[in-house]
Amino acid sequence: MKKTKTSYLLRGTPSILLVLGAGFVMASSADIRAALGMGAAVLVSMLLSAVVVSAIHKIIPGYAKLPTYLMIITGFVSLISMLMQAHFPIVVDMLGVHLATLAVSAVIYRDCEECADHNGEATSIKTALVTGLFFTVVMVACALIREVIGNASIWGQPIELLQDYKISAIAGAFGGYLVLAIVMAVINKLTGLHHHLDEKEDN
Amino acid sequence: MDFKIILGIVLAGILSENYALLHFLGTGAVLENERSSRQSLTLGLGTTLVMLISTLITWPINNYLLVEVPYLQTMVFVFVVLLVVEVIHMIARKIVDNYCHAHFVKFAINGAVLGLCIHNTEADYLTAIVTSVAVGIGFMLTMTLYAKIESTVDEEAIPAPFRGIPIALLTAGMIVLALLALQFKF
Repeated sequence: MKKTKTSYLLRGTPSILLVLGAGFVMASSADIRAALGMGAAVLVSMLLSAVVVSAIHKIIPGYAKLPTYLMIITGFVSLISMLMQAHFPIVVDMLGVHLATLAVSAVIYRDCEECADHNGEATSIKTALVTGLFFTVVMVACALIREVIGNASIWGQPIELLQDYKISAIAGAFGGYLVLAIVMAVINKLTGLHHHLDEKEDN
Repeated sequence: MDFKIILGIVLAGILSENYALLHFLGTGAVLENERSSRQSLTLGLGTTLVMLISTLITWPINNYLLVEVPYLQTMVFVFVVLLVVEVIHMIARKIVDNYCHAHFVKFAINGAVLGLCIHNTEADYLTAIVTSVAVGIGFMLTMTLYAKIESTVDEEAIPAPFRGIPIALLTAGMIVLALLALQFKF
């Protein structure tokens, strides 16, 4: 089990996952509330899908795996979307269509296909938890930077001191790319992931 | 619908309302793409076709069958997109020589297609069809352009932590800056 977890995290998976999920990381990181909402949605849907897929993967024939896994993920995403609509309608309004498109997100599908499809429930749950938490932390970090610098606010409350210094572009689409690129560069620097990737390219 | 409106929708779909770059729908598919410009163009064409056919099917379903059960929208739309992609994949395998895109199915089922189908439910049928073609062309051009630009990036000249995905994001960010200068609206 230790080997599976180590290889999953060290073969550059966090970076690859962040690229696959770059769309909804950037879309939901303009506001901390949206980032937390999306993070929770990703975490819960990934966790539930991993449990179901790891439980039934042996009885699903190879040619039917893609549609089956996608429909399982879609079911959980619809469920979470309805729950969020009932309890956190403001967050659902902020996320808009991105919450529904989580159903076809390559991040959750790849987690099911690469991990839950080959492992038991325990390993799948651990991997889904690690991946989901990693996503949530990255999204919240990006949202904190973008909301404070771009909107001069935090949790929707304006920060009077920063009102004259806010840079609106950071809260927009360009800011999404810029902030995520910087956050990923910091992750690469801290984890030494770029050395690993360089070595892989050399080989 | 006159020519000016159609032109406006097409320009908006390609430029100022670009799904992959400005709406963050299907961004992962574009950024992850490591294929040549030619292969990207082919995949983009396939995705455009998926967008058009999915819209043709999902719009009537949403407006006539899902009126009483709107909470089934995502599930039904994903099912339709899956079916459309599988059918196109099967036909392409039979009629196109050297069809080598084994990953077309996984590629074509992305957030841009589903997001477009959901967005299009708010428009009338004709506008939805034109929009799906415009967004598809925009997606295809973005993929091709991005593949071309990324192949010319000199990784050696970039600080080590920024190599790979961070520089890819910054490259996409630069294209976004250029697109933001244009403000065509649907």
